[in-house]
Amino acid sequence: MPDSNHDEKFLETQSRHFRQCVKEARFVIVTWLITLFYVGTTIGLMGYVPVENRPDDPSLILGIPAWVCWGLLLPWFVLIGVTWWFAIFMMKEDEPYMDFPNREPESLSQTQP
Amino acid sequence: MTDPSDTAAWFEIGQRDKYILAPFFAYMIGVFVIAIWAHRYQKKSEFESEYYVGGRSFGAWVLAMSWVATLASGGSFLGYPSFVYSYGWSMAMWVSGSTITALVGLGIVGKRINRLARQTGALTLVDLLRERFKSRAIGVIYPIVIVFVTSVYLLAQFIAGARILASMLDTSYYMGLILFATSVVAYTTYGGFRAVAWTDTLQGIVMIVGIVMLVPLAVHAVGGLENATRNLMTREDPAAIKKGIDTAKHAYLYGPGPEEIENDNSESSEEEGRSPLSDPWLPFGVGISMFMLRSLGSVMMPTTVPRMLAFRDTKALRRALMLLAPYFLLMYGSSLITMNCAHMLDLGLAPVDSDQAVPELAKRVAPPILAGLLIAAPFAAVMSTVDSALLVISASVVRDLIQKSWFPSIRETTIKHLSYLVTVVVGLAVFFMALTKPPFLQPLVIYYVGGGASALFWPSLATLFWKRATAQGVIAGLVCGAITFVLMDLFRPLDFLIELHPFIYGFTASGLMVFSVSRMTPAQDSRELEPYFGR
Repeated sequence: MPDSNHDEKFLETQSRHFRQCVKEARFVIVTWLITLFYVGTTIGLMGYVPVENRPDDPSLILGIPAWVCWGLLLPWFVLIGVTWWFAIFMMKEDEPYMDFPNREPESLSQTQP
Repeated sequence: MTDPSDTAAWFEIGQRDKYILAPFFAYMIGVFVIAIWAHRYQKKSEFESEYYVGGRSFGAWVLAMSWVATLASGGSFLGYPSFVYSYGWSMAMWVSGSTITALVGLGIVGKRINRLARQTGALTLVDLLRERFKSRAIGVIYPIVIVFVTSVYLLAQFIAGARILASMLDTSYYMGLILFATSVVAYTTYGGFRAVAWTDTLQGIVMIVGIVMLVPLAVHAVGGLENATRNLMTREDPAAIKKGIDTAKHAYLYGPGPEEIENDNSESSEEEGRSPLSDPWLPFGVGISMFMLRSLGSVMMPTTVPRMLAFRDTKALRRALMLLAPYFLLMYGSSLITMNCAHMLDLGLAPVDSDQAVPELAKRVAPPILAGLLIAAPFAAVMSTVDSALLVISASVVRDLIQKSWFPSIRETTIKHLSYLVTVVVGLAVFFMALTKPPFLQPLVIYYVGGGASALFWPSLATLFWKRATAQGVIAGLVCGAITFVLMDLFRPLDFLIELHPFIYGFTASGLMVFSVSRMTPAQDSRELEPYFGR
């Protein structure tokens, strides 16, 4: 049954868990904003060219329009790397699992890590 | 394309090629074997936790593949390729948000929601919200919104599934719909969440293998991608011709793309909010909206949230992120390449039948034995989304509304029978709606993602991360986001200024309401918050 020691320890681990989750979420949101800015700017400038300014022979890279390569594929490859980095280095293992105070342990507890 | 129903009885199946049928039926048998295997777990475990979150025991592969298979629906494997087939490279911006979908979708809330769900015993997202705010109103309103938006999504997927089967089996749409509905409802009802997640894993693998295998076949068939792209430079825009205007220079190579193809169905034209003399297909504002929708929309999607409640530990989450990072590039990159080649092959599809482009291309460029597998890929995408959506609706109705809101003392055996019953009834209801054969798939999918994200994103995020959030604020954000989305989608009053997707307005309104109403209402007792946020 829950006791005061359990409650104190629980609140400590819960604080650490919450702070770490906020830190990770903040990283993702900043990355999202940078991506939005880059993709919007690059595609806006290179991919949304007014009809009168379009070249007769559009630039292609391996058969793909250049704006697709720079505005879509390049950030995509970079973000794969960022996601791997995030998963390996940024996202920490979670705090040890503890039941909520004053709550019976979940019947699923046999599956807890 | 000629509908076989024009020349034969609706129930006749014309396909006799065993090389197409064999791999497809092998895949279907695999799905049912998994469902039967998964059902055994239900007998050993507590019904609800097993039926709705699979005992919270899933590792990286099951988490990653079931998450992406649920997210990537018929919209990704039929609807999006259909648009690329119709609008060329201009559709690249449509998927720009998918560059960061995996990171945003799992990285922001995955760990947090999983831990809190374990600690509170939540089996659904609504459980979690109700528990934090101790609010019955949230427990009623939230599932109603979820049931509504998910039903729209289900409808889109039933249409997609029926169309694939119609194409593959050379039968009518109606026969395809019957076969699809019967099979998917049967294995979902019988196997529950574990069967859904396991079959999703199989389907996630079949999907990506199938769509990637199409790339070299399509590129080879047109003599190289550059050849196909150069051919697009001279492509005439049928919608422009129909309107009596010239095709814009390199319309298929640049945004905003060619003219929007007019749908003969007037209701759909209204849905898109364009006049009959509409501007080009993808204005920049809509493109940016799609970036936001495709990335943020994945965070609190009702069909993907159960996966976050069901994974085993953070290690599984981290590995799943690594698996998912390249998945979207392979998926949408392959569609962009294959469908920009497909137009050269003259698939013989009328504009309103372009949702059939992937199966028709597979039949055209692949050897028959491979074509069966390639057609199974989009079918897998559809099935994996339908089974998840069925379970979400079942959980919302049985767990969130009946059990938690109205009859808390209901017995487990009754819950079990109700869960089976609701899954079947919902399947049947959507089946009858799909009989009306709505013409385009992708708008329904986008409606679901946009509506869901408008209503659910901020309230759910505030519940998980913001101490100052209140029940009133969450409800206000939920209702206001949903209503704003629907109204902006119907009337589009600001399109004369800038054309944005209605999601942007719903999303913004929801966020403002959560913030302002929470600030205006009394804060939650700090002792109630400590278990969620610590000290």
